[in-house]
Amino acid sequence: MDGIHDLGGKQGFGRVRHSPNGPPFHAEWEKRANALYGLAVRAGILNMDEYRHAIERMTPRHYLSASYYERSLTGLATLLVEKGLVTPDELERLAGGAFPLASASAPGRTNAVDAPRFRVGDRVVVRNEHVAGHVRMPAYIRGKRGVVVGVSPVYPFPDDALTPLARAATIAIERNEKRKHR
Amino acid sequence: MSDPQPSVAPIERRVDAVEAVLATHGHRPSEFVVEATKTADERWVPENGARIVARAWTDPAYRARLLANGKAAAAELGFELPRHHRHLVFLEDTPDVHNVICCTLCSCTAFTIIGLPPDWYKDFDYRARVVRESRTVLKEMGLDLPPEVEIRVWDTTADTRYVVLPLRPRGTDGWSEERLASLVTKDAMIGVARIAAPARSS
Repeated sequence: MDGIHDLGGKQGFGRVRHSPNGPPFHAEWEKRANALYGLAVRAGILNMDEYRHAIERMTPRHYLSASYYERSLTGLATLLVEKGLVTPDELERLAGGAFPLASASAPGRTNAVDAPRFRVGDRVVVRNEHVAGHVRMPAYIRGKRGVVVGVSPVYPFPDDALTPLARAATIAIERNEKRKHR
Repeated sequence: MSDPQPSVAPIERRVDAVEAVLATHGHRPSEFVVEATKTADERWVPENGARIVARAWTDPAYRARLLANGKAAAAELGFELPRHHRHLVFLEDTPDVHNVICCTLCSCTAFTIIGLPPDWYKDFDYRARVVRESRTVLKEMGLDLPPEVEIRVWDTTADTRYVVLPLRPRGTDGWSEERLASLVTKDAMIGVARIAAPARSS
């Protein structure tokens, strides 16, 4: 989906607040939030693709104002509701206040069994394709020409993780920072 | 308490709520939190990647295996990846090519190898800008690369994870693998820093 999460190439952002070897966590609750989604994956309640998509479905206003681990927790809580483990009302009762969740999912793509097999060196053009559901292709590469520089092993198709047939090609897209676009 | 729009619960309370739901369903979250935090702190550390890098610097045959199949080469040194990290690619820096990794969509990294991603890696500023103006971003972060050095930005996908194999610094001839590994940082394996040559006296 063309969600707010798809940030690659967006302009208007500022200097990276970098400190050498910056810490992954800043508070105790962040460690708990991070562990709880791991537990849900391990327990088979959800898979990684569902979890990523649930974060992507957060409303843009919420996504941009939430910290990384708040986004993670929101994705997890949304899936616990959608999978029937808890109702939104019960979550809010337990939390003692409002508990904003992500929006509902839109249809994605099913896997294409006749997907092309890429080889290193192939010249390709990235499809200018818009998918309402979960997709791993960032928008900034749409329509770009490139060369395949790597091919992954087979893995579950993230748009439809029940069909373990996909294979990703890594493509190189040349661009010069100084050049104007198009 | 009939406020139609209750204020958002503090984040700690929302974590408590999710933890309570998982506990209700018999998943023992508090025990898992302790175990997972310990794993992240003690086992998913950049020293793992540093050992791999140092081995690649000192053993050309290992380096070739690492570049051909990162996952198998990591396993040789006892380092595992989660099942869903199906592909591990080491990106070889050369004097002419500098590699840097990112995840524009979220936060993917090879975290069992380099440790969990730092705060700034997950921030919007890095995710948005590094694929558009990498040279500027790196310079702002303290890495001012000569203009003739090509920068390659690798946007991590869920199933393919990247780690930068940095240049071995000058002045380290004859160093042991262990001593070399002590120079390698998480930032260098992300590609936002190069490894400085050690001071002469050490």
